[in-house]
Amino acid sequence: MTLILSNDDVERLLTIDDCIAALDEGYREIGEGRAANRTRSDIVTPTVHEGGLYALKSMDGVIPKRKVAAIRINSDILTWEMKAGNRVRVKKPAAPGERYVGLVLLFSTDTGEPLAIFPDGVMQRLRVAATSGLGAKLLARKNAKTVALLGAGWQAGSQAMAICAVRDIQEIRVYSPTPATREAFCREMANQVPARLTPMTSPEAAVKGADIVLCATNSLGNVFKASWVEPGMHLGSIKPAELEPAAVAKAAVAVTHFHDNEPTIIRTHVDPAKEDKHGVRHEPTGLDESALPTLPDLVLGRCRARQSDAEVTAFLNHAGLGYQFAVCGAALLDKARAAKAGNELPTEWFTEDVHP
Amino acid sequence: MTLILSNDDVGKLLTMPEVIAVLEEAYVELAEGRGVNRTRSDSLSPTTWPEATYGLKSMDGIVPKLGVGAVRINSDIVTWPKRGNNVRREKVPAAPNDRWVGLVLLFSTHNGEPLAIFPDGVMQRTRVGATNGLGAKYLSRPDSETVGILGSGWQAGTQLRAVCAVRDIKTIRCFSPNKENREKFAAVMSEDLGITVEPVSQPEDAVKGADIAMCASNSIDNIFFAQWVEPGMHISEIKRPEIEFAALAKADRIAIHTKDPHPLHFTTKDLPMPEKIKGKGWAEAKATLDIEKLPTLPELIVGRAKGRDNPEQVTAFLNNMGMGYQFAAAGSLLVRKAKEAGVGHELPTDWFTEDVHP
Repeated sequence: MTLILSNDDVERLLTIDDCIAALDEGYREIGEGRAANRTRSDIVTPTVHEGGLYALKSMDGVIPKRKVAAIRINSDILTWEMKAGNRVRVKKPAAPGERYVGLVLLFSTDTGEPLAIFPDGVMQRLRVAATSGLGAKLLARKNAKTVALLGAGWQAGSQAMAICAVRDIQEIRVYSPTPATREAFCREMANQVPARLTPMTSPEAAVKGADIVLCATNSLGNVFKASWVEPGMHLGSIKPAELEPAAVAKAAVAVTHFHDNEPTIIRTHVDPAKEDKHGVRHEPTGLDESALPTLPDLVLGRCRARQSDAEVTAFLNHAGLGYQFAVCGAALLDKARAAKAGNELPTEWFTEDVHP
Repeated sequence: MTLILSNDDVGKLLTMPEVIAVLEEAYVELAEGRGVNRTRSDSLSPTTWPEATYGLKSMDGIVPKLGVGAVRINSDIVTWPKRGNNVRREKVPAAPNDRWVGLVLLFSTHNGEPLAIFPDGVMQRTRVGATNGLGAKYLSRPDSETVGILGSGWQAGTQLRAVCAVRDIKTIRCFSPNKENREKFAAVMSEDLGITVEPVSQPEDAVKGADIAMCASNSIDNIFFAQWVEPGMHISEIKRPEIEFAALAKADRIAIHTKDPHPLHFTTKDLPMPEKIKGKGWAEAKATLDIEKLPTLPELIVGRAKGRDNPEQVTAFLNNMGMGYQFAAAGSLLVRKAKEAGVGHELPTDWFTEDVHP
């Protein structure tokens, strides 16, 4: 049978600890050349939505050790908005019932059969956060107690959970530009993390004296300045522009998630005059990650980690891998089978007796 | 609702002339920069199946004019057995009940929603056939009547349906190495087409005197040779390198399906790749044939490339690689016809969409 799982199932079944452990193993496998990953591709065209674009995105990966392959697909209506002076890309929930469209399909490398299909949303934020958490686990000071969290959105919540899974965090200071948003975030996360959550009125106030600074925004501009760096800090980001490049330059050890993971973007012919307004790429940030060691290097001990409590470290988690969905998907499957979760559909619906 | 369709549904709903027409429309869009296609990618790894490789393959495309984006996914166990003198690449039906795994997912460019999910098999061979049908429509002599086909497998049937949809074919001869296969194929296709298909015991007998010679094998070696080329012939293949280079050298006009040279491979370290070891495919083709200089089918359709000038010229169409884009084009037709006919299982779209931001 092919399992159809919901985001609720994924949320209920898969913990941040599961994902961190699975990714630790997964990065060892890929670091040793025993796994495969395909960089994300986006194909982009006009849509009926004024000023918007349609994008069909996919990424995939295989972890033979767990006998699982995954492809993750997004079918997005993209628009651009100005928020607090920064231009941000906004996915519009345009599907019936104002919903987004993202899917993960898992396959068996033993038989090829489809094992599960589920929406990507919950796993998406879990794997981003678990990856940042793994980076922090291997780079941040062991005695780190205070976290500054810049951002109060969808990704920020799981970043908070991940950091609490790898360090004994006492306080998380949360800043985002809208007071109501950061206050609501602190209320909603209160029973999900052991740390105290404090809404802050400025980013400077949030980061001052923090042991760990986590950026979790969808900003296309800097949110953390080099002048805010303090000795011993660990910095984390999930978007290329979040950390000012000079801040990363202050780190004794800066590790990037993975190399050669710039998405391939293929578009219909666009009028060059409209190119800027409708651009789908991030503007260049001035941050060059190409020479940095990667998370697989760090996990395998091929690059150095922190050597003293005074050193500054940084983990740059700027582009996801389809491979992460195979790794976390394998962990999800184990738990879903044990819990007998999900709707089962006949595998015959998704296989065939004619040669493809 | 998201439609789940079967291969039987696809076979009943799609007719060859309609698929040829929708592909023709979609290729015009592509030639004008109004459609997009992503080259196939293969993520390859070891599998527990003996002497095999696991491949997760995907390709996609969008035809904005038709409002549809498609992703086609294959999850294959691939082996390379030797059959006779030729090495074949074979997909093992390793899924439960000896089945293969290929899926097409269709999405709306208007609101992103998943429109349909269905196995790829029937559409796969239909679009390959339709594409070579378009090649023949734009390159073969309009008075072509005789077809010689090499191959009697899964792809050969749709090749014949397609060529019969674009030319008034009166005679068909079929060769494949296995006598039983070619005789069975000839009987089935004679019935299907209403034209007698004659099985022959030598490839030369199939192509001699043919106006159109079609290769439709799964060989990764040459099967059509230069000495068989005759004036006025149109030759086609469904994968490189069925037609020998020396045969292509005799062609006055050659068109290819796409300039994409090969699928992108993402593999584990040191994974054995028999095609690469043997130097097959485009890697070898490059030395003899500059694909950058060859016109594509979309260019031919919009008149940016020249077709045949006279009845004596030899033409060739190389369906060198498939496109995900074809599944978007044929898929738009399929969804429309399935809705009209009320065919397929309907699943709640909510199963495949989400209220959380991905």
